Amino acid sequence: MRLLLKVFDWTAGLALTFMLAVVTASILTRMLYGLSGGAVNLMFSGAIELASYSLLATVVASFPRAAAEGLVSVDIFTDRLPGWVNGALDRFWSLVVAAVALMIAYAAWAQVAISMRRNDETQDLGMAMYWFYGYEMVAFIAFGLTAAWVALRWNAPRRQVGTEARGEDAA
Amino acid sequence: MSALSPQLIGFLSIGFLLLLIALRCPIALAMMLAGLGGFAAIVGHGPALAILETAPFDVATSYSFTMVPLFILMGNFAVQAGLSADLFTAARRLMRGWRGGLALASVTACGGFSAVSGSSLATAATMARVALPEMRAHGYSMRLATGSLAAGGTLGIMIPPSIALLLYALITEQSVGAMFLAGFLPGILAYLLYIVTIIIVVRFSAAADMSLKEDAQTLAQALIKAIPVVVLFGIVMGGLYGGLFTPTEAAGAGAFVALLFALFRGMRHAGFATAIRDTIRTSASIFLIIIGAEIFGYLLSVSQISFELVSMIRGMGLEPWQVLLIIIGFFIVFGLFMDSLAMILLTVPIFYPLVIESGFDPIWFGIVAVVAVELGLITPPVGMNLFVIKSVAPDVSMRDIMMGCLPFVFADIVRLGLLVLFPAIALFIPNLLGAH
Repeated sequence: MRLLLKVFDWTAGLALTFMLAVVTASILTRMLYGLSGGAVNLMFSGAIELASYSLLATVVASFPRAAAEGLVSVDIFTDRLPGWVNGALDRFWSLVVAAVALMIAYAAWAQVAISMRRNDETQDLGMAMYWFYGYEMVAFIAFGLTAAWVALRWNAPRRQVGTEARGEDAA
Repeated sequence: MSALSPQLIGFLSIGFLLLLIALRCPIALAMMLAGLGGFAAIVGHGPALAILETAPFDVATSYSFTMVPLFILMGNFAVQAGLSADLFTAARRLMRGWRGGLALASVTACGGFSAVSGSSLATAATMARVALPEMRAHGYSMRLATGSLAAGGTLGIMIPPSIALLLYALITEQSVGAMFLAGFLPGILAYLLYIVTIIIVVRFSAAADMSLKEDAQTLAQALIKAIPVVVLFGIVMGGLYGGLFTPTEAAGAGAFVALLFALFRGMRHAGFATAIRDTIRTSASIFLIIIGAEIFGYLLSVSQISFELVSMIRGMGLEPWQVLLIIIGFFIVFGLFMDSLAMILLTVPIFYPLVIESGFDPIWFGIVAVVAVELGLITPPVGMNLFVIKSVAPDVSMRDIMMGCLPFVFADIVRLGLLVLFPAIALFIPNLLGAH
């Protein structure tokens, strides 16, 4: 499971770096074009599309890690319950997360089949859409497997409270 | 299909959602389950499952949402560049000679860091690590120290670029630029009210003289080190309003320049990896909730409960200000129990039609909503900034942190009142610059 998480961490990190590179390159080439009065044209098409699909690659690849570290929940109403009840609730919800993630993966598989049949392509760069649906499917399978692992492993699952940039990490 | 009316199913689904949240269900999952369940009861199981094919993909490939990780990345690179420590040094030097100077410097540095970080928690955690040990060493009351840092952190949710304002703009289809501009004066107002609060607290506290006299750096030296923050803020906001960048490009440019600062100041591979890792982890939490909210949005749409709410309120003959008070009360009460971003993503789509119907300005309402929700960050039981400060100062009791925040809660209530009475506080700059 650690290897799986590592692979997706790397994928998400590379995709985020790529997204930053694409957006920056798009700005710089446009500025260069403007400053040179149109003489230096290094602008490339499809920057918006590349950034959008980089976002997909970043976001869905980060979900397995989110499942491993605990999803955001409100624990104030259950805090007074015995520890084993809270543990059982966390495991139960992790199993439900796993089920929903696998349902989304199945839905993405359906989209893979449809887009292959229709030869769907992205608007600007003409990339085959089934690659992206396939990627989404694989990431959600990993998400589901991680959530199931969290639910069934010996150590109790953890929970985060709060969705904004988690302070302890940001610092 | 159900025999119940779509509106009733909508309201039952909201009740089910709140029940799931109370039962410790992850917020994103609760939104998905309640949304899918309600949608299936109204439209059918087939269309409900079809939502799963489109909603996650649509959210994760939305170009508008690329701003979210890029702004978070900018803040994380700023941390790696050591801007938080430099800001605190400059603020400390600026406030030298004032009673309670370190507390004033903490809030000032929080305000500065908010200009490069869109998050309250990141601001509170980052500045607490820098400022708390120093306030402790100077014999500051831990109530004042922790309270000023927890409250100072909330500036991150209002001073642009704010992730909360960004999400509000995206879900209500308002201009991100106008929203950021609208947050500027309320952010400054919050800063000034916090400063006044500290001055009052220090004046009436029995603690010894807490003014700072010694300082190795000159004011000019300290301020020069904080220039990168001004540069970053200038690039993002100047680029955005100067028509140089789109909002996504402004976020990208900010992140890139913050990366350059971090590299220039000696960031190594490990620092880069930490910034990327922290950004990914934060983004994952946010995007799961956005996907949950997107799915729940389908239910809101087919059940028409927002419009039902509008006609109910109209039938009750309430004045617009009464409607507003009810909504603000709802935000404050639920903000006590729920995370701020989740609150915004969940409740704004429900209340927004009602707000528009009542004739309120959508930009102004966004600011009011965020301020009301922000109160929950420093009030128990789920005040996230309280927990963040507690994690940095484990020896300080939660009770002391809460008591320390109390004067700042009053300051926030005053600010909320001022914003409601004088909408121009939020709308002046957007109107002045023709962004609204």
